[in-house]
Amino acid sequence: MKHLIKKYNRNDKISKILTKGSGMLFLLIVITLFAVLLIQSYPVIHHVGILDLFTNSAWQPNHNHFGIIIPLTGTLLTTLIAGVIAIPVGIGTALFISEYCPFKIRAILSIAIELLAAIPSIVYGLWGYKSLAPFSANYIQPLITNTLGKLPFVGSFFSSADAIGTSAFVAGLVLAIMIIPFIASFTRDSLNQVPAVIRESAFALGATHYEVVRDVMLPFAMRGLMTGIIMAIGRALGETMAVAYVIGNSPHWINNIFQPFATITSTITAEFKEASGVHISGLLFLALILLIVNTITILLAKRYANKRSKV
Amino acid sequence: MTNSIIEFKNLDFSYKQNQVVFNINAIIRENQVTAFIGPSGCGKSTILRCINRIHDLYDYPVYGGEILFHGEDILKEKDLITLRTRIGMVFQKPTAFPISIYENVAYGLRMKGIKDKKILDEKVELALRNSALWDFAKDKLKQLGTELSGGQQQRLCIARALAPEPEVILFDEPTSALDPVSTAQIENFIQTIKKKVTVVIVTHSMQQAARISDRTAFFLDGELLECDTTDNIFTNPQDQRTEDYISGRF
Amino acid sequence: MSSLHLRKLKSFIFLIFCLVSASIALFFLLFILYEVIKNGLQAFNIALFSEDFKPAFLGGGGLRHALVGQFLMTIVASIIGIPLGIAGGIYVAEYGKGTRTAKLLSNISDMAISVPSIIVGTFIFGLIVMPFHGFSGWAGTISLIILLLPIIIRSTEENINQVSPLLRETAYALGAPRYLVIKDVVLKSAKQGIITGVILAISRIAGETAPLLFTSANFSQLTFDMSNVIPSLTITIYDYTNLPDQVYLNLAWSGSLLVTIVILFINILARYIFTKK
Repeated sequence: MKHLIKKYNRNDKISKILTKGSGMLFLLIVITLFAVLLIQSYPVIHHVGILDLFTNSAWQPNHNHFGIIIPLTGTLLTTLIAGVIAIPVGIGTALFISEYCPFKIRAILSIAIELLAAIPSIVYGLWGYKSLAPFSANYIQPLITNTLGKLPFVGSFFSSADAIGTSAFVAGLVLAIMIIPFIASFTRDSLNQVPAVIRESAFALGATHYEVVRDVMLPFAMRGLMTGIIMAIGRALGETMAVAYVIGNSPHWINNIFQPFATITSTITAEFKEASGVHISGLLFLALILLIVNTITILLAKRYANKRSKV
Repeated sequence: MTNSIIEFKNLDFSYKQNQVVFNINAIIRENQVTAFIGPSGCGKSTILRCINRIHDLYDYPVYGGEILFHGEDILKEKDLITLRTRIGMVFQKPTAFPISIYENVAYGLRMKGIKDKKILDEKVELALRNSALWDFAKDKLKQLGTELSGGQQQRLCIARALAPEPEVILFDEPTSALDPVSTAQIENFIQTIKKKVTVVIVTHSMQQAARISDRTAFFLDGELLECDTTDNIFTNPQDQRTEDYISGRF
Repeated sequence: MSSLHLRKLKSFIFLIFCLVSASIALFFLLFILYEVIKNGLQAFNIALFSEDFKPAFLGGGGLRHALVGQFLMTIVASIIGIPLGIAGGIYVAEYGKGTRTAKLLSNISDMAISVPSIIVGTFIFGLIVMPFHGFSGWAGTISLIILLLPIIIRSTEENINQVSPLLRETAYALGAPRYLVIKDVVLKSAKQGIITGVILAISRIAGETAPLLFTSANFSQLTFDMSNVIPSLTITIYDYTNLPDQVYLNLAWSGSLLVTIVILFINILARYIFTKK
């Protein structure tokens, strides 16, 4: 018996050390990740100065210009375009599935949307480049040029006669298509958590479908919905391959959204192979900035999720 | 004796192919409390939910027969929104909306198209007074309805159902999730409102039916065995099975 | 009753909005599936699986080298990453439960799941590839492991937390030591959930491109040498898109069809295992 207890204690100690070791290893990796990006960013910070990195509006590695404004703007702009398209479409899709759609095709539609989410980003990229870009140039771009493009003051930003194909808009569109299923399934899951009897009681008061959604379903589902949207935005910020394919990677200011542009990820992807010295450091600094922007976004989502869950 | 307001004529109901309600014929009288009793699964809630067509939110309902409301067939009604403003409902569990107490009560009023702030204020106060929630809630009208306790939320839901002055209110086991004190309050309350509104209440508690109802309908396996004054049902049931159920032999 | 008409009209407009939204989502899903299948079938033949890269005048060959490379890295990353991840999850949910370290690990893993994969790629690029002057299969594998770990840690933790405390207490009451309770009771009860999490995690890394781009780079021939550059399907798709010959573009589409099928299959498998529960 004593012998057995000894064995038990020994094995318990070993398994504790092994599991704790695995956990610690991952923590160490995360710390190293930050450390490596910081250390490798140092040369460019030292070389051109931190102020210049944030204020110089040129990204021209050959001329020692490493201003992050353009790639950062590109990342934010494409994400903004994606959000403007995907948030209403994603929420609308989820509402259609859980509120309006005939019960028979409800499950099929749900699975279809999840299929859309499982497709790897390289496939979105190839398709975006070879299929969506021409489709957009032929149909969507003229449509936007003829509508939003006619607006006073801001119209010129949405209008272009050139059909180049690769552009900030197409990048935003591909990102939108990638995050629609994400937003839709988050929204659907939160809608499903609204108790059926609450929904019924709104209808029992004589509310229309729209009023039930507006006054009961969406307020109840708001927490999950907001968390989903912020997570989706985080995804769009860091998406690499799909954007690298369709944005045309041109780090120059654009006059309208139908011109090629550059994002943080497309810049890193396009340049790292030929880069050396300070240039590499500049690219890793971009990665660091992306990591920071992304972390802030995720923290925001988590905070929102936690704050609202107490109500 | 008062007039009939709702009349079931050969009512059948199926969940898709699965028929659960068979050939119901009964009358609900105006300004009375009618209780639906019977063992669980007997179809009493299902029948109640036919009256405001809340089944129609789902894909399963198959109706047969007629439910006449002031002589018009509810089952042929196209305008369910108006129907539901005339026939209110209170559910098993409190269903406060995640909006303020005031807006909760005003919700049905707004559905009726009332926009005048003064009228809204008046009717909200009246409904809250009637449901004995006014003293508690008058300083907290902006607070979320979902932050109230269970019993308070259920009274809020009753106030909300009552505010638009429906002709009928359907109660679907309204006290099953509540403590005895809240239950007593709500039972008293139901007694007081029947002057203004017809009440149909589904309850699993025979004592509750005996305490508050004027008439009682006893259902078993989707069929109506008996519908009579509560006194008759409890003292002199016609059907052996009713007597068995009432005396607790089920 | 005109206010009623207005309300009904609003509700109808809203229905149209939802219908249009769902149609847009469905349109793009069908669009992408149609294009990937139509273009992917053009080079979808035996040679795709049996041949490596060939020059265009010899027909361009197939994708065997890329498939093998991607498979190799995914499998090795899984073999190393899965036990590490599960062990980490066990620490968070069992040995370390309630401690500051465990909470930190849980939160960091939760955050790490959403970190863009390109960040992991550039990290390994800066940590291994740059200092040692070379892209390698190992570098690619390590970046895949890093992507795998947080997903498995979190899913293991969540599944263990769902095991009923009563079951655990019963086992302890029988005098079992902790590691046996974990092995025989906790992990057995949480098995299905953990396996589902593992499969979904593999499906996440199996279709990855960005981290490999910066670590394992690409190569045109079949190789099993992990200490050198190694081809992968996803990067081959990317590289082939920009080659001038149409044969390579066709191969890129076939590769896309293949990777889509595999990922969807893994996802369906995970869903099947999960619902069997």
